[in-house]
Amino acid sequence: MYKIFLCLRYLCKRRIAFFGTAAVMLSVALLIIITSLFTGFIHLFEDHSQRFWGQVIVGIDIPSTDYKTLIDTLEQNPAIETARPHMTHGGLLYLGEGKARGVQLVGIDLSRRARDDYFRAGLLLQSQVQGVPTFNLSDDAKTKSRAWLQKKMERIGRTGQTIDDKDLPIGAIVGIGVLGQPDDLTDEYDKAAIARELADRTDPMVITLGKSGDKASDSAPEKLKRTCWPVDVVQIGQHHYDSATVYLPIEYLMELTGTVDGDGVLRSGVQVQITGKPGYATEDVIAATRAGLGVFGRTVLKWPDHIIASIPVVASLEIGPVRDLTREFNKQLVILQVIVGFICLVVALLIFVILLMIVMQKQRDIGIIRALGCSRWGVAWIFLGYGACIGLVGSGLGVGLGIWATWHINGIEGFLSQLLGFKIWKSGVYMFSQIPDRVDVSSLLWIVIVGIVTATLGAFLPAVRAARLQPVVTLRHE
Amino acid sequence: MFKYLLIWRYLIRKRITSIAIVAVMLLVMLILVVLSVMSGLLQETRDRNHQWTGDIVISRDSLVGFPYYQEFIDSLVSCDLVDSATPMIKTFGLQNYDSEPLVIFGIRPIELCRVTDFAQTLHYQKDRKPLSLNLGDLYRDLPSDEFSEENKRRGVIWATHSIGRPQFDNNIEWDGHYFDEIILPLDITVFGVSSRGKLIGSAMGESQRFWYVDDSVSGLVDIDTSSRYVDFDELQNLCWMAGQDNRPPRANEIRIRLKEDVALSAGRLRVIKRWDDFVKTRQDAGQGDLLGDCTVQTWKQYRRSFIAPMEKEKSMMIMVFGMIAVVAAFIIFIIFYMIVTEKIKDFGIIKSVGASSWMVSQIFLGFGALVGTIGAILGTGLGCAIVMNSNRIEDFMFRCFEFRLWPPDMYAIDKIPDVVNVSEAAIIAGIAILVSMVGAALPALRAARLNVVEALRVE
Repeated sequence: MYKIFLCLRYLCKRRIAFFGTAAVMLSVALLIIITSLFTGFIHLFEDHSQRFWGQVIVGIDIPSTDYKTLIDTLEQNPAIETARPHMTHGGLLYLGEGKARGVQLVGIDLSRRARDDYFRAGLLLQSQVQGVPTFNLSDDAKTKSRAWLQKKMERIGRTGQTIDDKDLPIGAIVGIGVLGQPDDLTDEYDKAAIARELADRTDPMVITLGKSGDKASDSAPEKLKRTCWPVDVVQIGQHHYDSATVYLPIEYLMELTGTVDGDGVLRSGVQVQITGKPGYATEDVIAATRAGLGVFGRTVLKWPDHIIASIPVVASLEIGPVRDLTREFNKQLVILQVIVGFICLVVALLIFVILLMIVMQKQRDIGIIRALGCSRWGVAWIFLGYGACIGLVGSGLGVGLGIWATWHINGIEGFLSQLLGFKIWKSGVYMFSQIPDRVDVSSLLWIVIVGIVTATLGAFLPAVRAARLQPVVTLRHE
Repeated sequence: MFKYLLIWRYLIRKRITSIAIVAVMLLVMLILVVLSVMSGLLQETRDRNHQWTGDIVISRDSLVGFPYYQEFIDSLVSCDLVDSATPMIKTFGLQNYDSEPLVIFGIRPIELCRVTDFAQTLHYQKDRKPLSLNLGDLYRDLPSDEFSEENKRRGVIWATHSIGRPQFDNNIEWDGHYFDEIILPLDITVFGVSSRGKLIGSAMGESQRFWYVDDSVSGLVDIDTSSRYVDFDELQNLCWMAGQDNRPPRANEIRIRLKEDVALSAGRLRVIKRWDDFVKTRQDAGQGDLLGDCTVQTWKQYRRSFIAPMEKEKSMMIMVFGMIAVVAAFIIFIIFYMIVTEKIKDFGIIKSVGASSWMVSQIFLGFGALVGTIGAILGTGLGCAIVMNSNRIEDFMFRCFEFRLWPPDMYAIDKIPDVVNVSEAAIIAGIAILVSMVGAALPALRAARLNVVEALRVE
């Protein structure tokens, strides 16, 4: 009992121990912030990859009309929430007045894509609109695009022709960064200006893309030019996708880039992206996808089993760039943790000298305790316990500080950016517009253990020294 | 003399001092290693950006570009400010119709090599002078039936990440013997834009076939992953910037190399002055309005979005290690405080035989400085050893654990920077000594203020 009493008394009365506690607190807080930041970043990256690519990807080249059947078949499986077609194609986008971009043209089924809250919420104009977002041109856009087309036809001498809606440019949703640049200091887009730009547009945007030749049908590569009208912009929060993506209806892109085979059937290499229902692991979703593909392959395509088995079905987190980047992020986390480990070593040294000093100052106390019958181990226990107490209190405070700082990391960054006059965290550099602010709860336990062990290790040698003190020597002088 | 004797004695006899030395050593070593690597990376990034960009860039952020570039270049190179200058065209393009979008640069190779170190980024023509994009200059055995005189000018330099190299190495030998193997046509498609910002030319975009002649590794990820270099005149024609619309020819950029003795910021100001004067003289000329919104930037400003993040990360690291410095100072403070407590009687004796308070405090300040110096020397030595052998250490770790800190296929880093900046090392060591003296200052004050009678009273 007296040991605990002495530990607590030293902890409260020896002000110098506060510095040890503060050092442990700062180290623990630093570890929590770094670990949470990196883990959060990795989770965010994986999360965004899965949102963009789906949980599981199927790559298959089949007639375009069969995709809907495949998707319906897959969505009947209880493990699958959404199956959606997706295709990408590189292209050039001319915005007008000398502004151009290299972009990824992404063909999507908007009704299915909008089931994901992140995409729906990221739309500038249609996020709050009831019903499913669409690629359809608004009445105002139709009027303007019709006027533009009319003018163009007059220029080439084709007057008097009626213009149907199908002749108008196709509706497109563009990444927010295609139309605007984030502010240098706040890293935020001027959404009002972008909305105005959408409303004031009088000319369509021009897309140029190429279509590779098909050896089977002996067709040569060709260039394609189309016009599109931006009906909305979307911000999904990942700079890479926000700055260079144009979303188009998948049927349109399939028709544009697909090839017609000998039987007159349009074929197009489309991915099917599958997201599992909550509670289903990726392996379960892969198994469900394989089962769905089996049914579809046998009944619709009449393919033999070995061909069906060769259709690539992969987890999106396993595709090369995603896997490689995740591995590198994890590696950088380990490197930073090693650096903080060195800091813990210095903290252990600090606690060592603090406790050594207290042992020297409390020699008389130790002598009295020993004279009253306390064993050497009992004395050592007091100082080991004292060190552990410093570690425990420091870790407790550090956990509080670390969690608070992680939760408010965006606010802290904003304050520092204001103070320093430049933006520290930019989406153009660190992919995402927000710093991950979710605490990595799974790492809290080991970080607290590291804090306590560091402090206890620092207390080890002073405890040994205290235990070896001779009561006769320490009590000799008055 | 007694001061030095006591300092030396405390250093030798008080084992606890070694803890303070170890703390300082760790501090110095850590900061030196991290800062050297980060400074090395930062310097390398700066150098690569500078070498690729030149000193000053005049640019307009529009495919329309600006006219009268040649007149301005001629007026620049005739003054004592500029060593050389060259126009460039920067546009977006597609390669072989279905590629990822690319950035296509139109260059005058010989001029560009005077302005930048572009030649050094090339694989085959690194040491070849003059640099050429002309297939006729480069290959002996061009099959005449396929390559007209016009086509022979259409070489393209392929910017590539270093891992892209082996696919070429298998097929190419730089003397023309393997020419059949390397005919690598690249169909490049760009937008043709009129001086009014309207699309012009064919309805599908402008395309032209080029042939691979070399590849360039600048070490800049954004450039190496998505760029192609073709002849300035060819691209100018393709983009409808060569005056096809009966307007003056246009370019997007002018890259400038200043004379050796001209400082960068002063040089920029003088170029701005010259540019403003030039714009005034052309205000009323055809398309003179396109000159108005051009920017004149130093290479640092032009590439700041790629350099600034690394500078910020270095500053953040310094802040983190500043925290460790505070802890180290506190360790030294406690150790010295303990020594003072233990040696109260010694100081009482010293003062009683005539030493002043200042002399007593000097003992501790000197002791702090000595501890700091020893720790700094050991830390600097250890840090230097780690930095200078960082690549060997990484190779060793790769051999033993297959762990590579910066795999070259992920980062544009050939090797970990292994050079210690002497001035940085000296500053770190100086700060470590200062921190040690700050840690020793309070105990020194306490020792100096000791009352002789009080100190000697207890037997």
